[in-house]
Amino acid sequence: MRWWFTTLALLLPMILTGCASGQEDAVRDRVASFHDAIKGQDWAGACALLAPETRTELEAAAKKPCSEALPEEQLPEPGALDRVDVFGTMAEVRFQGETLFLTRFADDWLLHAAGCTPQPPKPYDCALHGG
Amino acid sequence: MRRFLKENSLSLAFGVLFLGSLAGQAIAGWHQLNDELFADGLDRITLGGYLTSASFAVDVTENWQSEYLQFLLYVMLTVWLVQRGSPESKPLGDAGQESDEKQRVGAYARDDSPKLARVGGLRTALYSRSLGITMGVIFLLSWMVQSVAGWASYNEVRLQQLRDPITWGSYLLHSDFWARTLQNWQSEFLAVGSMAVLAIYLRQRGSPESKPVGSSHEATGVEG
Repeated sequence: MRWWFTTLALLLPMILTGCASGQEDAVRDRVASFHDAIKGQDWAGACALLAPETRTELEAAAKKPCSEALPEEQLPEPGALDRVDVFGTMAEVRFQGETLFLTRFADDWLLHAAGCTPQPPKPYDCALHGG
Repeated sequence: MRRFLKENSLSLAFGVLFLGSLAGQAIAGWHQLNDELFADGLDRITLGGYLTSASFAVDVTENWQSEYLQFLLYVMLTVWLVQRGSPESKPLGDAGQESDEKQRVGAYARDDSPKLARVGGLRTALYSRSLGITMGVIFLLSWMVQSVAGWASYNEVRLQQLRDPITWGSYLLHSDFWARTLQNWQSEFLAVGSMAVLAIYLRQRGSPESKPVGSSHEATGVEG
């Protein structure tokens, strides 16, 4: 019994952190794609990277299709990448000047919130967010 | 086979109950988490995803650690502390580690005593405390896993709420960790303490956890 538990205790943290580190590249790539789409004014491409709830909230607030509403949000230009954190189905990518939150849909990472600025101790204030 | 089942029915029954309960917890917890994810507009996860999630791990290990702590304390405290009239207690005058003769170790070991009780030295000293040590190790390991899984699970919720994650060190001082820990500890201490006291006055015919039905309320350390 003891060897089994020791193995579990040693493996579980590695699984939790190991899986997270494996996802960091996917999260970083997805944010880069989003920024590239915004920069290239590929609004349909950027909208495709939003989580369904985030897209719905944007369209409901603007009363326009996503590709027409997104240009009006004037998302901030991100600075240097600060850090990436992944916990389970959620991720946070911090740049200087902007923070983004992502959520996992099946095997894909989509934008849950973007254009976020800190307002401690309250949650981030985000230009775009779902839920 | 039939004889094996009969002679090991207690451990087998608890093994089946454990596996059944764990499977039930997995299914119920999976639906509960998916219900919360759906309400937040997030994607639902598969059962496999849930079984490897920090959320499932923390829910399992927070209960494991408290159960093993309960038995660790019970094993250790009943060496030194007694309860008049309780079948869970030793006789009032026997508090302490007792003599080698009474414990049948070293020169007092019998033919059927375990080898580690006979050899003496460090090995016998460790074997003499092996139950408490094993319970203690399992408690500490499961509590450690709870802290890591609880940290990951709590940070997942913080990210859903658009808040920065916290470090593992901060989580060890956080109310979420201690609320999960203490809500389990208090129930274990209540159950064990009440068992020790209720068994003074109440009986369960045929159970070794109870005194014989006709035994005096004053009788201590008597099991039926």
